[in-house]
This record gives sequence, C-alpha cells and structure tokens, in this order.
Amino acid sequence: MYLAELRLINFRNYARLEASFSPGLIVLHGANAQGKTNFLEAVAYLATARSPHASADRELVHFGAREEGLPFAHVEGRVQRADGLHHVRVSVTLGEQEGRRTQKAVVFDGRRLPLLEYIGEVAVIQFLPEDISLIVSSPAVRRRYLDVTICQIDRQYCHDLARYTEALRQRNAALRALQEQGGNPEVAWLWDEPLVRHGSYIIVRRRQIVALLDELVTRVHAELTGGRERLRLLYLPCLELGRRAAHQLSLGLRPTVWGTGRDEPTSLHDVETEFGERLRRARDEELRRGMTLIGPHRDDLRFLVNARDMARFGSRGQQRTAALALRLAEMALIAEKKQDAPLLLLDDIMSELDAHRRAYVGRALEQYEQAFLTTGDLDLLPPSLRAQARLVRVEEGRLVWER
Amino acid sequence: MSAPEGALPTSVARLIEELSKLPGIGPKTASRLTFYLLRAPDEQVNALAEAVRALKLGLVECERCCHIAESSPCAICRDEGREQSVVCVVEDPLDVVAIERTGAYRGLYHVLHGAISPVEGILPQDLRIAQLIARLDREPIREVILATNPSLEGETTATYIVRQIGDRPIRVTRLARGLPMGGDLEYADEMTLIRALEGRSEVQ
Ligand SMILES: [Zn+2]
Repeated sequence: MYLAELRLINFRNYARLEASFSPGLIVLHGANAQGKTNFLEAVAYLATARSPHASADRELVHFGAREEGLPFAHVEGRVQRADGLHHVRVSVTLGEQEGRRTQKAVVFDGRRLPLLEYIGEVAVIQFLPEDISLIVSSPAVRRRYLDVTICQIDRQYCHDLARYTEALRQRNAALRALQEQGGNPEVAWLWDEPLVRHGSYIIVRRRQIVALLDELVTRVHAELTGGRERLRLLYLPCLELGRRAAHQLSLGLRPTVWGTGRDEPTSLHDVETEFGERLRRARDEELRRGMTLIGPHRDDLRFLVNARDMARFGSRGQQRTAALALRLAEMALIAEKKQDAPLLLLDDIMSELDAHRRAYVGRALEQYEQAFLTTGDLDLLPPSLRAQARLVRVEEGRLVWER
Repeated sequence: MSAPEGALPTSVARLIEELSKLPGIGPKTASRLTFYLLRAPDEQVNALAEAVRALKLGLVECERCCHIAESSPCAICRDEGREQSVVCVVEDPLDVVAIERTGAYRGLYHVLHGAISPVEGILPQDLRIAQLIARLDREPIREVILATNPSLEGETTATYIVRQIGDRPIRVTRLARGLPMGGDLEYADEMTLIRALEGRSEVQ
C-alpha cells in the first residue's frame, strides 16, 4: 500500500499541510527541528491512532490551535491499498478547559470506528532511533512491541488484549484492597475466568508470531553480519517459566531450553488449563503481595546472538544490529500476513549504521511500495538509493519538493 | 475554577459551582447554563427549581425489587397481572425503563444499582445482590434473567450471581448477545432488546 495524500491541520508544528505522494522512496531532509520527525509521526498516527513519541494525545495539537479557536488536530489521508483507495481521518480535540479530557476520533471511509476496529487497516513499520531500547529496555517495551505488531495483523488479538488488560486491572484492584483491608477473596478470583480466556489467546498468538519472527530475523541478521553471527528471538512466557527457570536465565544459564520444549502446552485449550491451574496455585502469594503474578502481562522476549543474551552481553553495535534486524523481519512478516506492503517510516537511522548495513537497508527498501526516510545528511544515503529517491526539504513545517 | 471573590453575586457563583459538579458539565458549560437561566422567564426557572427540589422528596427504593419509586412496593411490584415467577436482573433503574419501553416483558425486576468493579471500589456487598438471593428464597421465582450489561464488569457480576444462586431449583438465563459489546441496555434500541429477551440462553 502507499500513502497517496496527506492533509494536516494543527498537527505539531504543521499548522496546515497538504501533499500528494507517489509510490517509491521519499527522502525528507533539512536542518533539525523543522518537522521531519513530526511528519513521520503524523503518518504513524494516521495508521495507528497512536503516537510513538507523545505520552498524551494533547501534545500533538499545534500550540497556536487554541488561540485560533480550533482546539484540535486533524490528520487525514488517502491510502491506496491492494483492494482500492481508502480515506482515513484521525482527529484529536482538546477539552473545553485546560486539563479536561482530550477526545480522539477515527473515521475510516466515512464511518466512525472504535479504535480497536480500525487498527490494522493501514499497516506501518516504524524504524526509530530509539529502537535499541527494544533490546536493552524493560520487558514492558518488548511486550508493547509484540502487541503493536500483532494487533496490526490480528484484530481478535487486539480485542483480547483490551479485555485482558481490563480484567487484570480489576483483579489487581481487588487483590490490593484485600491486602489492605482483608475480606472475602472471592471478589478477586471472579476475574480469573476472563483473565484466562483472553490471556490464553494472547499467549498462543505471541508464541506463533515470535516463532515466525525468529525465522525471519535469523535470516536477515545473518545477511547483515555477513553470516558471522546467528540471532535467535525467543518467547519467554511467564506461564511456562516459573521462578526457578527465570532465575537460571538471569544467571545466563542454558537459555536455549525455551522455544524448543516438547512439554509446552500448544493448543488454546491446553494453555487455558495450564493458566487456570497456575493461577490457583499462586493464590496465597497473590493475596500476600496484592497483585496478579501469573499471566502474559509478565511475558518477555530474549535476543540471543550465538546463544548469548544481547541485553546483557551484547555490544552497543550488536544491539543496534539486532534491533534493525527485528524491524526488517517485522516488515517482511506484515507484508506476508497482509498480502500488501506496509508503509515504511525510517527516522534518521542511517547515521547509526555502517556502509554495509546502509546498503543492505537500501536494498530492502527497494522491495517495498513506499518508504519515507528522514536524514540530516543526504550523503549518508547509498548512491543507488539516492538516485531513485524523491527529495523533499523540510522547512519550518513546510515541504519543499526538490526532485 | 472559581471567579475571584466579589466578581460575581454569590447566588450566581453558587449555581455555577453546583452545576459544574454534574457529570459531563465543565465550568464553562455551567456558566453558560447559569446565565441562560438568569435571562429566562421566572416560570421556567421556578419549574426547574421545583423539579430539582421534588426529585428526592418522597422517592424511595422499592423494598422488593430495589427500583427507584414513589412508594414501596413500586408500581411494577404491585401489578398482580405481571408474571410473578420471572425476575429480570438489571444494573440500573434506567435499564428497567428501557425494557419496559419494549412492552415485550411481563415479569418482575431486580435492580442491582451497579456492577462489580474493584477499580471503582464497588464490591458485591455494595450491590443489591443479597436482597436478590433473599427474594429467591421467599418468592415463588422459577426463572432469573441476568440482564446486566455485556461489559466485563456486567459479565462478571452475572457470574457472581450465578454462583450465589447455587443449586437452587431455578432456571437462570442470560440475555442473548444481540447487544453490542460493551454497550448499555439503556442505549440499546427496542428491537435489539426484544430480540435479546427472546433469544436468552440458559446458564448452567
Ligand atoms: Zn418493586
């Protein structure tokens, strides 16, 4: 798919923008703080209704919007997919008063959709400068990565994730109240049923998708490193790990025991049974600690290069390469699952890569329908890539087409 | 957000303050409503004041079904023409109104006044669940229709009630899922509700 038109009103530093794009590579360059990253953020927001950078939607609204009497931001676009041209508008409206609720609305082909039913209509892959955090940051970052990726290809997952999160919140609130004030624990166990039902689907899907990503990432990574290193991606479900295994892993012992086990529950039904059983056994400890201790909200992913855990033992360069390989694998996965190329957004990633990796990324991009790439330095682009790119200079929230 | 001392007459400031405590009304809307009333004819303002004042005067919770009514037992509970062996369990009084509007249901009700939600501090003992169970033991009830909302909280409340009913010889049914997920009975259109009532399914 490709973005054919984009229209912005009061989005970040774009008071107004209207632009049309053709398929192919579009390179946005220019000095810092002119709006290169904001442009990519707008496209990502159009596709996911979530910003990779803002912690709250209200940050997206241009500072002049309120004075102008238009306290909202609009991102609107036409996307050409394999099945035709589609129209999307995502808008953020600020509350009447400072600090009041911000509202977000998605209109797809003229119909207002709940967020959960929109996710996945426009597929996007974002390469971000902070991608290295996928390897080195907390498990929460990796879970969010998995969730965002799987939601793009499976709406059921999106639905189950929302319900799971809600059940977990209720159960944790009940456990906290029981820890503080005592009472009948039945009010906490009431949420086991939805927790297990929705959580098991999450676990099964995460395992399947990580297995697919693992295959892809191993291949991409071998090419990036000239075959010298072998990257494996492993799913570490809280359900199967148990504390003992988690402890062994933290010591760096035999991390290859996961992802290959014969006794892993595999069907949805098996996972539900196991999950329910583990929850029942954890009850005493959960009451003592006032929180839910078992479930996919405690899952993690591991990146192993030649069987060494990248988060702990990888060099900065190895970690960066692993993160890049993961994004490239994700790109292939989504294209395959959706039978349509996702939009690619690459935010200033070339400066961190050596010439060999830059050339590899360049070749990978050529196989996709459309990519937006920002750079502060055009000389970093591989010559062949530069030759076929359309160049746009970004200046104070305006796009100036150069070629 | 209050106006500086003395900038507004006390009566005006007080009404703005009271109105802005209502759900969905911010200080700006509250001011707009207040100044509208200030310019409105006396009769209109008095009618509103009287309606607000009379709202809680003489309103009681029906001792049998916990619906809000002018007397206890409420009109529905007093109506002997209604099927006395079926009870429809709903979250809110407005749900009773929604189901009554369909005209398709002729049994009794039981209003829980909410759904279990530990996040909001609402536990089973805060709802009229004990009263429901007591009714089952006292009245000749043969069927309970669980019409709590199809939200996570509504479903869980239904599960809890099923467990409380236990092995009493009572048929327990759940409204069919014609209702949109996470939707409220209050907002369901009449045809959807009628279909949901007809297609209710047994809970084991
Ligand atoms: Zn009554």
